[in-house]
Amino acid sequence: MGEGVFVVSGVTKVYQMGEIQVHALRGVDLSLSAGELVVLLGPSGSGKSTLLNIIGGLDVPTSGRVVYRASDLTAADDQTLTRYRRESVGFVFQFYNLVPTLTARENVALVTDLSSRPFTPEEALDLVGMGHRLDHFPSQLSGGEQQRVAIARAIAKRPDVLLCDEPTGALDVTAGTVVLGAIARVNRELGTTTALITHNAVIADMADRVLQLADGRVVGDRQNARRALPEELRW
Amino acid sequence: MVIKALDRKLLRDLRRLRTQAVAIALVAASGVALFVATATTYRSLRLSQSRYYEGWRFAHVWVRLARAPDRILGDLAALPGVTAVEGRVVSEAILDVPGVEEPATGLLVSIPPGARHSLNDLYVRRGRHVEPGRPDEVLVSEAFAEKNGLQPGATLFATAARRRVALHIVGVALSPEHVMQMPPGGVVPDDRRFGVFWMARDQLETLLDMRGAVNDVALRVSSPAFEAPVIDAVDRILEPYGGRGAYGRRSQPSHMMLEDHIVQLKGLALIVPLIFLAVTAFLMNVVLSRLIGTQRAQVGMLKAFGYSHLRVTTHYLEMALVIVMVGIVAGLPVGVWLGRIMAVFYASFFRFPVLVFRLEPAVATVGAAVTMLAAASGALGALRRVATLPPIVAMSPAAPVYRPTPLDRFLPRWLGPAARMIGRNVTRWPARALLTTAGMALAVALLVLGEASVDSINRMIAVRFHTAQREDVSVLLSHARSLEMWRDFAALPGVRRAEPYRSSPGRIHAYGRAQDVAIYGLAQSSVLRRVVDTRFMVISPAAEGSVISSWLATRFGIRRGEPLAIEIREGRRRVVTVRVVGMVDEPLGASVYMDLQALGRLLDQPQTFSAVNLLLDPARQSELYATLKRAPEVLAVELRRRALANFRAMSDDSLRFVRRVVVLFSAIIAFGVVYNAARIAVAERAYELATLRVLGFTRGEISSVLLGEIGVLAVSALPLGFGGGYALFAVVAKAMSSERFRMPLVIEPRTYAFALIVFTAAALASALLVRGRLDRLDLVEVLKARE
Repeated sequence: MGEGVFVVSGVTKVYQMGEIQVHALRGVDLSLSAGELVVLLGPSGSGKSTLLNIIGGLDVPTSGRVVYRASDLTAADDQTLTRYRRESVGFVFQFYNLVPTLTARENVALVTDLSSRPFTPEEALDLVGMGHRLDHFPSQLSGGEQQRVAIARAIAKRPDVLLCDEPTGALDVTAGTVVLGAIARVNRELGTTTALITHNAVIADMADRVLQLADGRVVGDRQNARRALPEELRW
Repeated sequence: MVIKALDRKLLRDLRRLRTQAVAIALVAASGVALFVATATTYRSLRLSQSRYYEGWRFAHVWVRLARAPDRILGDLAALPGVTAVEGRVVSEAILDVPGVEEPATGLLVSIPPGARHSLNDLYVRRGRHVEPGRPDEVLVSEAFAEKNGLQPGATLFATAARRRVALHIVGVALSPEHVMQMPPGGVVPDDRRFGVFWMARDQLETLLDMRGAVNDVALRVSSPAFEAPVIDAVDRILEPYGGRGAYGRRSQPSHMMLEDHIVQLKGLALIVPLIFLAVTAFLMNVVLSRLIGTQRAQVGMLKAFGYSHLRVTTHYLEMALVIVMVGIVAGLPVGVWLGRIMAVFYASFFRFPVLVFRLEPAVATVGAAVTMLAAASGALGALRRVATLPPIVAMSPAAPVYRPTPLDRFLPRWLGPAARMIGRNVTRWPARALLTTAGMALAVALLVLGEASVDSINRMIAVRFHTAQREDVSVLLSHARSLEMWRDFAALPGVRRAEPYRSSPGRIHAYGRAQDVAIYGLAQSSVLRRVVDTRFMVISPAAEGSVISSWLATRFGIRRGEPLAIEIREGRRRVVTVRVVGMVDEPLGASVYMDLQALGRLLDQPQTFSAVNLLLDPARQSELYATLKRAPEVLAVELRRRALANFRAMSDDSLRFVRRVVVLFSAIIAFGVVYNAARIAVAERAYELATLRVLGFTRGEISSVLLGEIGVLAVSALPLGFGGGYALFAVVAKAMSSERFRMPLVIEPRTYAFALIVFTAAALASALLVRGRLDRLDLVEVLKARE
């Protein structure tokens, strides 16, 4: 595998909910290498989303360090984090987060307008097999199609990192398979370092590496001998 | 006391929406405060005025005449409906006030023996009443005394009936007849240059050679119904004695002016609060619609559990009413406080000896009830949706669906996604965008309205005092003189140009109504006095026929080419007929203009003039003033510069306060509307905006998406507001127009610029507040909330 993209060390996250303290992360250490497809596996409340949000620059840890390619994200201000998200990270969420008043093409253009060497929206949508529905609004697309538009939007700026939070959580098997296929293709063809969160153990088979989270800690780290093709997955 | 669960929900919802609730309550409070203040002031002035008029026995009918024996008063008192008659001796006089260079004009009025006025009683503010047997003692009107620094003990000189007399001031007094001190021929009160002096009847009789006779009569009648028949009877009885035509309160100069002020206040009391109530209703509708939109599932749940449609509907109605109740409770005391300040201001402005100020429960009740009604009507549209929502539909959330609209075809391809989002968000809820725009336009319109009055007054001044009137001094003579004599005036010291003219009081009768007018005869070559309309068009009176004020034409349905019957109210009274050859849309007065020679022929006094306009050499004006102060044939001297200053001062006095209030409250409306619209947009689109932040948009960029949308609405509100302001001003100008004043419908660019600046400032202030909220958007929290 290539050089380290992320080095996470001793990261904790404590949420203060009124009188109660919620420990979402209790000291996480991990590293992600360039071009790797990593699946973060764990039940609800294990801290996977919190970890992903911190890596993606949406949230800051209570303690510990996150280093992205020699720059310390934990010391960055809001402006730096915005630039980091703008230039280096692509996000895919469970509920697609498309802007309802923009077409598929325009949702992708939201990102390409900000970027210095992006794909065209058409190229990005072709890459996820949505080249034929450029001018449809989100309300005119199925859930799987919406998620593929979201992936196109995430990768259109050729990000260094793709972060996917339960991308198939709201989809049936057929639609989910197509979406995972799109993510695997992006990872393979563009070499984008990809982290994917799921609570569905089957999906772990498509990863290079699987990190198991439980109760705010990394409790398992295994390398898959072979990456399964998404269409081989059944759940 | 147990608080029911639904009431707890009400309180919590209110707490959550507190900023928006406060914004609405503030607008409602402004409306209530303004209504209570103006209505209370109006009622106070009406009560004080009637207390003053009744307490000091203000007359109902007046008449000036040449001379009649005292015994004629018995005949007048015997007329049906007449309860009191007072015969008086009066005379205009030219005053020489110590230390004042310009000549002033005085009205000398007799006091009956023993100071027992049966009518128009005097209120002695300072000093004492005149005492019998003491020569030359006078009481002076308070406004004149104040403006000229005259105290009891001071002496000034007057020229009346070709005699120079000393006036020893012993007291300062008020009279219901001279609440507003209107100089002869003047359009506004001139407290500095026109004063009323009351002196013992026998003294004035001697001065004017009027022993045992009167030249002025005032009467009171038992009921308004008697006024018209009494006027007719008085005219009939006094005809042989040179009666100049009796008139009622409606034509009494001081009363007319006072009524103008009070009626304007009444207009203000009605129109402005109405605008605030409309905005309250609008804001209520927007906020409740939004709240109910987000609480669809809760509405469904409540109904599913067995709460009736009615109970759920009243739950939201209660919320609307609680919000405006807060506004009402806050607005009432402010209104009373403001009302007291205004009433005291006006009472001292009018110099009422009595001020009746009370908060009438009816005023407060009406204010509160109308505000509640406005809030309820605003809430109604939103509530209807609650009532008609079946539980199962309500519980399934309304999907944020965007369907393509015709607009999409018109969006140019080069438009970026941010601009597209703005465009589509506006068209997504067209009704709401329209309402928000309307609310903003209302604020702009109100700002235009407040400032337009200034433009209008400036135009009146420019037309009247700079274009129509260009003389320095106008000298009114005590009686008409032969036209050959006018050159005497040109020869006076310091006079550069003199132009004779004629002015006569007249009365028009048409359709059972009477209207007093001023008839002017101007020379064809006249340049110092011209007939000018509100668009600065100069209209020269034809050699034959007359040009009349458009206001008269409209009021009496007079058309061009028609004959007009005018009753002449001087000398031998009679009715003459002239053809109307033109109209002039002039801002001040009700006048008939004719050629000087033609008017002379009409009055059976050909080749005469009764006044002269003078252009002065500034270096020698003192010399001229000194001469005029002693000129026996002079009735009054008008200075254009003074008249202009008085007009400006009076309009500034009455407008300044109203303008400040209007600007303040329009800013509140603009702020309230923009703030609410932006807050709702933030709440509805927090998820979308957070997504953009995740995609790498900066705070500034997402603000520009949201505020850009508000900006688009604000920009489209501006022309609407400008148009609305113009329309509103047209209504107000019409409501305020009277025979003395017509506000020209003129709005200058500076007014639009002013409205633009104030509105933009208020909108920016609220946008900044919302921007602060966007900066604190918690990305993780917002994204999580959806799941």
